[in-house]
Amino acid sequence: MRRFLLATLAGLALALPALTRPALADPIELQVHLSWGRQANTQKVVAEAFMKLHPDITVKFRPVTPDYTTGLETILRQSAVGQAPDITYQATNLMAQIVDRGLAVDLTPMLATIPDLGAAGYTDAILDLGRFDGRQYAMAFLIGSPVLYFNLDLVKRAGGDPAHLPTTWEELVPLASRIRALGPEVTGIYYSYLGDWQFQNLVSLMGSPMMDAARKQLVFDGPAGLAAMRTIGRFVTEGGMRPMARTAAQEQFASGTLGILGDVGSLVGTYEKRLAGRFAWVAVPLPGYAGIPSRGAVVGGNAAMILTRDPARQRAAWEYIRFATGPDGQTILTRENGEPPLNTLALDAAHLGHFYDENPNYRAQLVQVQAGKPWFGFPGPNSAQITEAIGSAQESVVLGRASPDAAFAEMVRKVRALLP
Amino acid sequence: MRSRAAPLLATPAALLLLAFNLAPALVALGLSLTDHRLAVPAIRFIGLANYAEMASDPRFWNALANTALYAAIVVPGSVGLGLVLALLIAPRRIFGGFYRAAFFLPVASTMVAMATVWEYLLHPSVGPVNQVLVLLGFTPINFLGNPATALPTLAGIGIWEISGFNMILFLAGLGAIPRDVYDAAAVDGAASAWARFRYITWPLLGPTTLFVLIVTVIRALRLFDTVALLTQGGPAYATDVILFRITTVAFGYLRIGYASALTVTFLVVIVLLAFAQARLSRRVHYA
Repeated sequence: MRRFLLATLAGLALALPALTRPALADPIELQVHLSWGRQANTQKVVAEAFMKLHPDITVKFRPVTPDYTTGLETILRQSAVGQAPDITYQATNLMAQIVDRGLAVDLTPMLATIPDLGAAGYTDAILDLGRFDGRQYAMAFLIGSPVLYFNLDLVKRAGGDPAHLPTTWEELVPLASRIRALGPEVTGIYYSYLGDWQFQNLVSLMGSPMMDAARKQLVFDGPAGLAAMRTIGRFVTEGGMRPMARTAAQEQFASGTLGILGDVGSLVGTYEKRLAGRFAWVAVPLPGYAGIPSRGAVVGGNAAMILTRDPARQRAAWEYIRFATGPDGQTILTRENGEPPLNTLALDAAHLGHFYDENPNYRAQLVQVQAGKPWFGFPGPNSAQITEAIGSAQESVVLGRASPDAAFAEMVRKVRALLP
Repeated sequence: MRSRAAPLLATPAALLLLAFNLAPALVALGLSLTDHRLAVPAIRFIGLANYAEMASDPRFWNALANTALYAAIVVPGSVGLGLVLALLIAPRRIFGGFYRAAFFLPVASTMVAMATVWEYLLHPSVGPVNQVLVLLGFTPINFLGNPATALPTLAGIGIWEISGFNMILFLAGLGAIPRDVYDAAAVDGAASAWARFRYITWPLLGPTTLFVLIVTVIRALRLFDTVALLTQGGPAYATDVILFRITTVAFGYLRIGYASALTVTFLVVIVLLAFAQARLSRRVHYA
């Protein structure tokens, strides 16, 4: 009896702090994993700002994995042995792999605690980047889009008007062709063709998604996909596009001998520093197709997912994600990293203020991301091979080994075979 | 007493070997018989199906052929160049140290930084190499962008990287040849430089040459860094070598089972080479 009494008292003593204080007040150390190196410093600044507001929560970063595929692999491996972090930032086009394996926590109930999402700065387009089958599994943090970089000096020399750049691919290709004619060292256009992101953009600009909403039927295998592939063919035959690595094309643009570069929007920051005073350049949104309503740019990047199963840690993790995707976190993101804020409140006078008036080259991404469509991740276990097949088909056109029509037919055949 | 201490002293090393070399190899062997995918709990024993798939996988044979071609260029190239450099530098009193350091520099530098330099040097339009070619009246070469030239270009970079290392090994081998053998040969009438090389240096360097050869072969088969940094296996799989393929299958496709089968196959090749070295070196040694 006495032993029972003692045990009860001891139990009460242990339970007391938990009863008298809210659970969040217990100091919690959140383990956060980042998949992509170029955001590490930005994330540190976000975490420091957050910890000032929440002294009871410490944010600890795990070693950063340099790229998104390694990041996914790391989390899958750590989850298999019960070593997963509380939060992971994963590529939006790879997240399905984590959701499909049942590793991500459903954030829908936590999101429901925000009474008015619009008033909190969350738009439906941005929330949609982290939605699967109607449930919220991730909150987009850093999202970018491809943009076009124009060397305005070359545009002028080729008889183009820097104030009225082409807004359709049909007008753009002849300009690229004229730039190419300026000299043997000059290339008209390079449009990044390895992987499937840039291809998905061309398809979307043709008004088509890659698959239907149920992720069962291909949709891009019709005229939209064919038009996209023919556009790449014209880049090669008319614009003088040559097979080379993206990094080599980025170097060439910086050297002033590439007229038009279609690549990730995140180069703006680098070029602002490197090209100052060397030649006139501008970053603009991707053009459309004449007379065809676009679906919007295909945007991608990373989003935060909660992996911890512990309710108290989940609450703390949600607080952190709310901050990182809220106006303060997103202001830090834009100022430090250059990607557009995903929270509309970050654009007000108290946060970013005149940032976009002072830095017009950053605007291209802002416009496209606000109306963007998620970078589509193909379903099933072969999604990486499908991405590779789409990249290879484009490459065969760039290498001149196949006509756009033949390459497209081969691409569709391969993609069909790899789908579940 | 001594006999009891010996196994005891060897135990830590043996345990480490077991934990870090043998055990992982055995795990890979076990996984290669399954359809394991990363973080998918369901795992099935599928026997030799992965190996059967490998036999009919064009990407595997392509990677194997690329690896073999790379080794076929880099091994003779860097062993030959290493030997020539060593022969030229060894007799030098002045500047010997300078040349030694200069040729060894690529070995000591990090490939990540060097890859960026190479990408710039070989750039199809703005690269200095192509600008020189144009100046001399040649058409520029898209070294890394053309499937026909990409692998030979990587092999060239490989020779540049490994030759200095081989040179140092040959220099050590040359230093171990006693002077008086040459004096004796001079008395016997082996006067020309070629005769001295043919009858003394080359045979006495035998063990060194064999060692350099095997080390270079293994190094060439393990090509990964320049592929990952410069070509990503492309263009059109022209530089997709075996280690890069394994990485793609394991960490891109997340197919651990199949990647393990590739790894085991690669391991068998390396082990066979190591055995070959052990067998051959017994015959080459001058007693």
